[in-house]
Amino acid sequence: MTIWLPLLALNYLSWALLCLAVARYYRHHFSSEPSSTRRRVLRIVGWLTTLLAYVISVRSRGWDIGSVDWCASWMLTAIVWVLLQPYLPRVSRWLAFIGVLSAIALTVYPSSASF
Amino acid sequence: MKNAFRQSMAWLHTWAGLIVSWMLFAIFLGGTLACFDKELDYWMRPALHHLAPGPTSMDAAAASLRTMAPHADTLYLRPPDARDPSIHGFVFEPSKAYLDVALNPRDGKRIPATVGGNFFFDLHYSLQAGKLGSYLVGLAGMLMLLALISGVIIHRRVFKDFFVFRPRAGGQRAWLDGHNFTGVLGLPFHLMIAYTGVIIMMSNYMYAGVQIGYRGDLVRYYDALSGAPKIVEQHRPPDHVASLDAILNDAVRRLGGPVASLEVEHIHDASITVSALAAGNGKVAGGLRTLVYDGAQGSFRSELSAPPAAYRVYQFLSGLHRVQFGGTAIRWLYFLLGATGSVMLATATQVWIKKRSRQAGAAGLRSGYGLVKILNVAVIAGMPVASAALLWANRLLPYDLPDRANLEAESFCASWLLAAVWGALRLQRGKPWRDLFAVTAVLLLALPLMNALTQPRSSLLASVADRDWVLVGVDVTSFVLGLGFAWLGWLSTCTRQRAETRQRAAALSLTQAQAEAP
Amino acid sequence: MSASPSNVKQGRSTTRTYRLAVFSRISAALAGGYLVAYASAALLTVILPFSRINRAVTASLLSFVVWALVAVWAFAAGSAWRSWWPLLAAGSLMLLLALAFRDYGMRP
Repeated sequence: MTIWLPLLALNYLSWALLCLAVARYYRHHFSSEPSSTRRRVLRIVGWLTTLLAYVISVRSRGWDIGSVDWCASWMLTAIVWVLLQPYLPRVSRWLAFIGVLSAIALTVYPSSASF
Repeated sequence: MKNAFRQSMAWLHTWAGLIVSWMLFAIFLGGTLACFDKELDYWMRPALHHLAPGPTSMDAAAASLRTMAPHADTLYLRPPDARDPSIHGFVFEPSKAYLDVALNPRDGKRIPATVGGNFFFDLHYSLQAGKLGSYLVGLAGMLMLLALISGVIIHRRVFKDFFVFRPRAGGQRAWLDGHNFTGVLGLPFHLMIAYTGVIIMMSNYMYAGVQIGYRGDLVRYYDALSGAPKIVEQHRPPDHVASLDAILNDAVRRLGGPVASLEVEHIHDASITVSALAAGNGKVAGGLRTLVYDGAQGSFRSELSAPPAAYRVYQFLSGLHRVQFGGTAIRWLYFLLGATGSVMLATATQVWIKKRSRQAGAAGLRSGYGLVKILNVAVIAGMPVASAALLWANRLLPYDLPDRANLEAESFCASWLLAAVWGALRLQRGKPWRDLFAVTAVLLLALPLMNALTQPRSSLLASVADRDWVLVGVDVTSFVLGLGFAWLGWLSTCTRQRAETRQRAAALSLTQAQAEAP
Repeated sequence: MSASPSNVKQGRSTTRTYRLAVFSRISAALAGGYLVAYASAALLTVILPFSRINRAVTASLLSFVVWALVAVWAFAAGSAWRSWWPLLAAGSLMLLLALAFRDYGMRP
C-alpha cells in the first residue's frame, strides 16, 4: 500500500512549512528573520501540500476511507513534528525532505498513487 | 461578561475533566488496545496457529453450536477472515447468558476458552459491567464532549501556541504543553471518537424517537431498521436442512466479496432462514447488502432492500468509531491516535495535581488531593500492568482448566488491584510510578521470550519463518511498548530528582539571600 | 448567589450556598440537559420531513449534540437559577408539542 508513504510524508511536509511560516520557529531553525513574503509563501505552499495529500488519498481509497486516512495522518504527522521540535529540530527538517521527494516522485509518476 | 464565561468554562473543563479522567483513561486505553482485538484474539488462541490446511466447515461449526445451545432459536456464525482464522459463533439461549465461542474452522470443535482481545473491547464499551457499565461509558463520553467543548473555548491562543511544546521547562508548564498539544492536534479525532462512541449505543440512551414515532414498539422499530420481511413460523420441524457451506459459497459468488456473518433463524422450524451479511471493508459504513436464503432447501430467496438513509448515516458514524474498514494501516493510525488521547488524559491529571501541589502537600494523603494522587497512579500506571498481565495469564494458565476465561479476567483484575495498592502505599516515600512502569516494561519486554517458552510453535522466530505476521506483530509491538514503558519509568525517576534539585536550589538561594541581608 | 468561580474566593463562609449552586448547575446540565435533548428528539421525530424511521434515527443522532450544547450553556448561564428555568421551559414546551402531535409523529 504505497499510498501511505506519500500521504504521511506530504502531510508532515505541510506541517513543517506551516510551522516555519511562523516567525518564532523560523528564527529557531534558521537563526535569521524571515521576510513577510517568505512567510506567506511557506504558508501557501504548506496548505497546498496538505491539499495535494488529500487529493491523492481520496483518489486512492475513495471519499470516505480516503478522507479518514488523510485526517488521521494529518493529526499524527503534526504530533510527530511537535514532538521533534524541542529535541531534534534538525532531524525534523530532514524528515520533511522525504515529503519533498515524495511530492516530486508523485509529479513525475502520478500513477503510483492511484490504486 | 466574557470573563465570567471563560471562567465558568475553565471551571467546567477542570471539574468535568477531572471527574471523568480515570474512567475515561480506562475506556481510552481499552479502546486503543481493542483496535487490534481480533489480532490479540488470534495470539491468545495457540490452537489456531499452524492450522492444517483444508476446507472451512460452517456446517460442523453450526452443529457444534447447536449442541452447546440446544434451545436457541437463532445462531450467528462469523466465517474466517484475514484477521481471524476461527469460525466465531454467537448464540442466545432463553434465560441464559449469551454464548460467544471460537470454533476450529476444520471440524467446528470449540477452541480452549480465552477472554481474547475481545476483553479490551468489552472493557472499552461497558467496563466489563454489562448494561450499567454501558450507561457509565455513555456518561463518560458525554462528559468528554463537555470537556472538549469547554477546552476549546478556554484555550485562547490556539493558533499562537499551536506548535508549542517545552518539555525542558519542567513541572506544570511542560505538563500543560503536553496536554495542550495532544488535545489540540488530536482534536478532530477526540471530538469524532467521543460523539460517535456515544451514538453507537444510542438506542440504550435515547428512547424519544421510538416512543413518539412507534409508541414504544421496539420490535417494529428494529424491523424498520433492518428491512427484513417478517418470517412466519410453520410450527413443524424442517424436513431437510441445507448446507451452510453451500449457502456461503453462493452468497460470496452473488456478493462478489466476502461474507461477514451468517444468521440462521428459526432453526427448529420449517421456516428456517439463513441471512448472509456482506463484509464491508471497503466502506466506512460497512457492508451494505444482505442476502436471504431458504434454510431448508438452500435456495436464494431475496436480497434485503438498502437500509434507510438515516440508518446508513448511523452506520457510517458507528463505522468511523469502530474502525473495521480499510485494512491494518488505518487501525495502526487509530491505535496511535488513541495512545495520544490517553496521553492527553494522563497529562491532564498531572496538570491538575501539580497546579495544587502546595495544597496537596499540606493536606497529605488522607484528603481529596491524596485520593486524586492515588487514583492517578492506580489507573494510569496500574492499567498497563494489568493489560500486560492478561497476556501472561493467557499463556501461563493450563489449557484444560474449565473456567479458564474467567481466570484470565481475574488475573487482570487481581494484578490491577495489586498495582493500585502498591501505588497507594508507596506514594509518600517510594516511587510507585517508576515501579509500576518498570513492572509493565518487564512484562512487555519479556513477553516474546515467555511466548517462546510456553508455546514454541507460536514463538516470534517460528512466526517469522511461517510468515504469520499477526503473531510477529503482537510480539514485536509488545517489545517496543516495553521499551516505551522502560523510558517512562526512567523519566519518572528523573522528574522527581529534577524537582528535588530545583527545590533544593531554591531553598539554598533563599538561605544565601537571607544570610546576605543586612 | 451566582455560582461563577469568581466569587469562590469571596465566600468560604457561603460554602453551603456555593455547593448548592454548583449542584444546581450540574443537575441542570445533566438532568435538565437530558430533558431538553429528549424533548428535542421527540419534537424532531414529529416535524422532520422524512419517513418515520429516518425521523426517529436522525432525531436521536442530533439529540446528543443538543445535550452537549445545552450542558455547556447551563454552566455558562449567569446564575444557578438562570441555568435551570430556560431548560425546564424549553424542554416541557417541546415535549408537550411532540405529545400533542403524536399521531402526526407516527405517520409512515
